Formats: sequence, structure tokens, C-alpha cells
Amino acid sequence: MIRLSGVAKSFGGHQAVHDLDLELARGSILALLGPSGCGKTTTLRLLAGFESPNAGEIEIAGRTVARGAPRATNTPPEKRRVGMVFQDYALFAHLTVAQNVAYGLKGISRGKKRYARIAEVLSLAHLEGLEDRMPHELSGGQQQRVALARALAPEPAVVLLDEPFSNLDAALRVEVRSEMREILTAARATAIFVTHDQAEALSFADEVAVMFEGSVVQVAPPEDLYHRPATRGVAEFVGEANFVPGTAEDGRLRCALGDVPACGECAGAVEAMLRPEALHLRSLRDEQEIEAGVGATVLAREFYGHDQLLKLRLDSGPVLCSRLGGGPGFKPGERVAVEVQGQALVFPRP
Amino acid sequence: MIAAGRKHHSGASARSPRPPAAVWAPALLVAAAMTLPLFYLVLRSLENGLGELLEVMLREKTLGVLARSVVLAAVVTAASVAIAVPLAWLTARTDLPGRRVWAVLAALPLVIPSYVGGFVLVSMFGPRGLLQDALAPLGVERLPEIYGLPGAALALTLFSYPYVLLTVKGALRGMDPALEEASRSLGSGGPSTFFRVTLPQLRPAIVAGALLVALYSLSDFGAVSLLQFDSFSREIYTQYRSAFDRTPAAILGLMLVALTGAILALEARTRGRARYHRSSAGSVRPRGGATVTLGRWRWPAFFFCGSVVLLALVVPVGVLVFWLARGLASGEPLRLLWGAAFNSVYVSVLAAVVAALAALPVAILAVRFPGWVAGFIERLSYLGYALPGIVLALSLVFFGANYAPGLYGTLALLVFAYAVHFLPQTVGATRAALLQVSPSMEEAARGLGRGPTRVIATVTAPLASSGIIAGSALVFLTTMKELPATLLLAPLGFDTLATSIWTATSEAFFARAAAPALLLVLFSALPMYLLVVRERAQ
Repeated sequence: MIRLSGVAKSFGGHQAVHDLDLELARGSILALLGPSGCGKTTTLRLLAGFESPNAGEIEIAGRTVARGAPRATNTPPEKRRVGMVFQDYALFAHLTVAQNVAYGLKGISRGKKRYARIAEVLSLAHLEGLEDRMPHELSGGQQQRVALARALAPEPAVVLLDEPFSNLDAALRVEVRSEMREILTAARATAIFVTHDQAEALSFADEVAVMFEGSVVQVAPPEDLYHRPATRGVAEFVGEANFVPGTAEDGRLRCALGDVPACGECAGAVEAMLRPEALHLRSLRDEQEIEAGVGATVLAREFYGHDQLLKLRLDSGPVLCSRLGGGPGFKPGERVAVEVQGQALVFPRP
Repeated sequence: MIAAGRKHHSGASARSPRPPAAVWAPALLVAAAMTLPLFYLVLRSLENGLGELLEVMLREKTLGVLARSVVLAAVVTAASVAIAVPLAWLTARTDLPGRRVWAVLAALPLVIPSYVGGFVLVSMFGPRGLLQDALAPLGVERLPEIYGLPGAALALTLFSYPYVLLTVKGALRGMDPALEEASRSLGSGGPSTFFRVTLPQLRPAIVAGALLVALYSLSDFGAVSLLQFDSFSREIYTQYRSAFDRTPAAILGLMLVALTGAILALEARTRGRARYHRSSAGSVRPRGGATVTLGRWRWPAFFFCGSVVLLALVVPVGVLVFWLARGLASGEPLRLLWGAAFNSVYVSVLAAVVAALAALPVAILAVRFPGWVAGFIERLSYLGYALPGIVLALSLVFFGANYAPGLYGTLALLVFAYAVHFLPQTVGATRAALLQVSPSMEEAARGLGRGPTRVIATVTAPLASSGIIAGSALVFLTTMKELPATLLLAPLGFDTLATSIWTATSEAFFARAAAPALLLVLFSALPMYLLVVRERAQ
């Protein structure tokens, strides 16, 4: 179990992290998601022990490792049982793959047990046969796996990964991502990783914590985060979102898209969020055809293969996005009827 | 014309692979000039047959010289590493009191030429020296001997350890902080991380610095001569001065060149499999790692830095100022000084211009027309580094006396010696500058109707001018300090600052040596200052 409560850290006058609360159960993977400069890397470094908090408490596996003033304590990184995977891997250039992995096995004396652990971790990370290579003789993906194997070898209470995929090119990234996920699951490791890529966070993690301006705004499993974002900011940052003004009452929303089922805590004048895939389109040849939905004109189309994104202007004025499957699409200028499938999520109007 | 596989900015050009005559002809000439001294040295060594070569080499006296040279180089290198590595780490990574000040001061002894350092030690600790004078009223008749290995090793260590300091500090700065953090989070504490990760990462830098120090102590002439330690440089000079037959001097010179080559080869072999470089990730963290808290070691560390700086910088400058004041008080004329200063500047400017002009064709060939010929010529241009000044001068003396009596004893031969000796500096700087000039600019000029030679004159050279100027400035300053070649090759009655210091010190006229020595130190401090300023700016 990992717990941060009321943690704050500032550098000079700048508050990097404040009032940070976070909890993570054993064996699960948490993504710290946020735009650059939101304090996510600082949070990771506070956990690892490379920074000490000004306030609050950090607990790893039932042990308080850091506490801010008063009664400040700070366990040094080497005594925390955290494994860190760095953005640029930080493999020791003077050691072989096997020596890198063995580096943290200090408690286990030389002999069979040590070799068994090295072999076990190497096979877990699919690195058999590369034991005697030097780091510069490996590909990017292999270096990544060595970094992970090295962090896992001493069986840490938690593995911390700092932007683990940012150094790989896009083609390799998806492949390495699922490999890493497999390795972490096989090792039954508790892991926290930092990313600014929402797709990466949603696909990789069991829980996602969204951070804005130094504190956590929402922690939720990926589906909940996508479908029930806590604030408009989260909704905008995670996935694409349409916003329309309207009035909400008794689970219904009245807006430019007509009368739509709604969920959310507020009533009256609201801002409603609809994901692009909730807007369904039908071709309109005859204006009299509108039975359900409202009329709109297609403005532009971006085709991605597996799906496509259409920009529309409703007859009443607002411009919205709709995501459709990869089938035959609509051309710019074409008239369509827009119908909402599913619920709108309402937020208080700012 | 566009060729496939052209690399942008690499300098590999798409033009016809044949360089214009305006480039290859002078480059060949320079290459020939570079090989002349070594070629002639070999020739002269074999003049009396292979039998004498072997006989001289295996003489007990020669073997003694060889042993002494090796011991001196080993002691100075080991001592420099022992001083410089802790200094580098303390000034780069800890909360040492006054860290920034120490960082600058600890590098400064580099500006003191070895013979000035030797002069300071002799005039301070030698017979008739300052310490002796001060202690005489107390009844101290004799001081421990400064001459020989202890003095020579001390002088060379004090004024060459900054080579190791600077390379190691550069490596510490460039090191990825994540490496040490990774080690910490894998359970290694501070000291354990230092020995298991930091020090191995620094190894290439330590070796590079140690190599510079070892080569410096082998080739040094001033300090070993003033402190009367019979290593190769001094023995060659003695042989040259006193013996009727000068072949043994040539043979000793050849041995010294071979020793230099052997050390270079040894260094190349010790490079391991590991490759060290900073990964190019867009890390946002500050470079160079965390600051280490020294705790109760703060003041011992402070004392250590203080002692090094005191011995290597404060004492030498203080002694120079003392002798200057004493000399002025007793009416020492400064007139001689201005003449020597003028000569130094004059000959150094000539050397800088010649070296810059000679470097241009070599560098253009190496950067724009790469291939084995260009590579070979470029490597030849680095021969100047492998030839210690005394050996180079000796070889040119022989050459001048036997084949070019008209040149012997002229300024031209002296400038030629300087140019050969310091050409690597201008070639290196010009090469780096040319690599910054995109070949497409030259191609644009070609497309606008200029011939290859005109392009070099109107586009390439002006664009690379800052590098060329930097290289020649370096040659100017190193020429100012050069001693052995000047001593052997300067025309009769042509005194420079370096030779004035040498003459005055050899005759124990310490006060007379002080003014030129201080002037030289000031001159040498200039590039050091620029280096520090540039470092700050980064």
C-alpha cells in the first residue's frame, strides 16, 4: 500500500505540489496523468526519496518514509524499497546487462540464490541471451526492459516509471507498452507511472490520477475517468469532448441537441459534455425527413482508418465533433441529422 | 548534382570527390613539412649505423635516463590524479565552503609555465633561496635537497594537475544525474554509489587527463632542467650542448618519441568495451546531480583545497611579486624586459599566422573531402603533439646545419618549428569550425557561378573565421610560453620572455627573472579567463 497525504513541495517560490492525497493498493498500476509542469514528476521523485516534502506524509508498505515539518523525517532512497525506471533508462554504461540487473541484489549474497534471481528476472523481461551485452549494444526497447528488470530484481514495494515510453518512436511504443504491462503483471508489482499522454494512461493503468497545477483532481479507473470526469478540465484533458450550454432538470437536459438524458449532480443552467461518439449522424436528403435529432451541416472530415472525426455546425449555431466508424463517410457541405445516443454529463456553468 | 546518401551538416559533400589543386597542393606541402623533423631525426640517429644506435640505447646511462623519465611521469601522473579527482568532486558536487571560488582558483595553476614554476621552487627552497635566507638567522645551514626527483615531480604536479581537474569536472557536469539516483534507489548509499557508479563513469575522463599529464611531464624541459633532474629532455639538452658527437642526442630524442608513442598506444588499449555518453533524453532536471552534504568533513575538505591552491598558485605568484619588488628596489633595469616582450609577441604573431594558414588546407581536405588520403594527412598534422619541443628543435638544428645553412639561426626556422609544433591546435579549431558550416552554403555559391577555389576564399574561410582566429590565438599564447625550441633555434641575440627567464634563473639572478615571468603568467591567464567566462555563460 502506498499513501500520500497532504503532501506539499515547493522549489524556491514555486509550489510544485500541494495538498496532494493519493492511495494505491498492492499489486495495481496507477498512472499519474497531467500536462507538463503539473507536478507529476515531482510526486514521483518525492516517493523515490530524491526530494523531501515540505509538508504531509508519505507511506510505503506500511512504513512512513517521509514527513514534512514539524517532526520532519526523510528515509534516504536506498532504504525505501522503491524501484525506479528513468525516462532515459540510466543504465550503467560500464556494466553488462546481467551486472546491471544484479546491481540492486545487495542483500542476497553471492551464490546460487543470486544467480537464480538474476536468471528469473532476465527471463521475466525476455532478456535471455543478452546477459553479456553492454547497454549501448541494445535496442531502445531492450534497454527499456533492462531498466525494468533492474528495478524489479530487488523485489521493491513499488516500481516508479518516469515517462517510460517517451523515448521510443511511435511505432515501437504500443508494442513495448503491452510488453511492459505483461512483465509488471507477471511480477505482481505495484507500479506508479508518470505520463502526459492520456491514451497511454487509459490503456496501461488500473487507476488513473489526473493532476492539475500541483494536486490531484480525480482518481478513478480508466472507464470511469472517461465517462464520468469530475470536472470540465478533466473531461477536456482526457479524450475529446463537446460542450453545449443547456438547462438540466430531473435527469433530462434541454439544449441545442434537443431533449437528452443527462446525469450529473447539478440542475438549472448547466454546461453539458458529450463525447464525439455519442453523436450519431444520418444523411438528410429531404429537409422534411427529420424525425429524430436536429439538422446540421458537415464542415470537415478527418479520416483515420478505423474511425473518422467529423466537424459539424448545428443549424442553431454551435460547432461540434462526431466520431463515426471507418465506413463510408459524409462529405463537407452535406446535410445531416444529429441524434444523441447515451447520456450527457452536466457540469455547473462557469 | 545530388548524390545519394548525403548526410546533412556532416561535411560529406556531394561534389566531385577530387579536391581542387588549391587545396590538395598546400595540404601535401604541409604534410611533408610535418614529417620532416621526424624523418630527419631517424636519419640522424642512424648516421653512424645501427650498431651505434643500439650501443647508445643500451648504455647504462641511457637506461638510467629512461628509468628516471618513466618514474617521473608515473609519479607526476599518480600525484595529479590523487589531487585532482577529489578536488573536482569537491568543487562540483558538494557544499564545500566557497565552492565557486575554489573551482576557479584550483584550475588557475595551469597558467604558470613549468619553468616559471621551477624558478619559483628553486628561488624559494633552493640554496640562496628565500626560505634559506629567512632561516639563516635561526642557524639553519642547509635545507632538504630540492633538486632531483622530489623537486621536479613537485613542480610538474603542481602545475599540471589542472589537466585532470578540468577533464574530470567536465565529466562530472555532463553525467546523467539519473545514474546516481538509479543506484540510490537500488539500495546503494552515498559512498557505495560513488565507488560503484560515479567513479567508473569518470574513468575515461581520468584517463584522458592522466594522459595529458604523462605526456606533459615527459616532454617538459623547463622544470626538469631548472631542478636538475636528468630525464630525457635535460639529458638531450646536455648532450647537445656539451658533446662533440651529436648522434647520441638524436638517439635519445628518438627514444623519447618512441616512449611517447608507447604511452599513446597503451592508452588506446585500455579503453574498455563500455561506451560512455549522456543519453540524449529531454530530461528537465538540472544536470550534474545532487549536492552532497559534507557534514564534519567540510573543514578538512576546505583545508585540502586551501593547501593545494596555496602551494600551486598563491606561493608562486607571491614569490614572483616579491622578487619583482626586490629587483625594482635595487634598481634592476626594465629596459631588457621590453625588448624581450616585443620579440616574444613578434615571433608569436608570426607563428600564429603561419599555423593558421597551414591548417586551412588540411582542415578543408579532412572535412570536405574525407577519405583515406585526407585522413592520413590530417593525422600527420598531429605529429607536432607527439614530438617534444626539445626533440623537434634538435632535429631542426641538425637539418639546418647540414642541409640549409642559410636557414640555420634565422627567425624563419624558429617560426617553422613553432608552426610544426602547434599546428594541431589550429587544425583542430579550424576543423571544428568547418563542421559548423553547412556544405549547402558552398553548394549555393557554386550554383551562383563561383569556382571551387573562389568559394573557399569567399564563403568557407569567412564562415569559419571565428574558429580559425580562436586556433591562432591559442598558438600565439602557447608560442609565448615555449622554451626549448626557442632556446635552440632563436637567432643569436634574439631574447624572448621565456629565454630571459631561463637565462636569469640558470644564473640565479632571481630578481631579473621575476618581471618577465609575471608578464608571461598574465599572458597565459588570458585564455584561461576566457574559458571561465564561457563556462559561466553556458
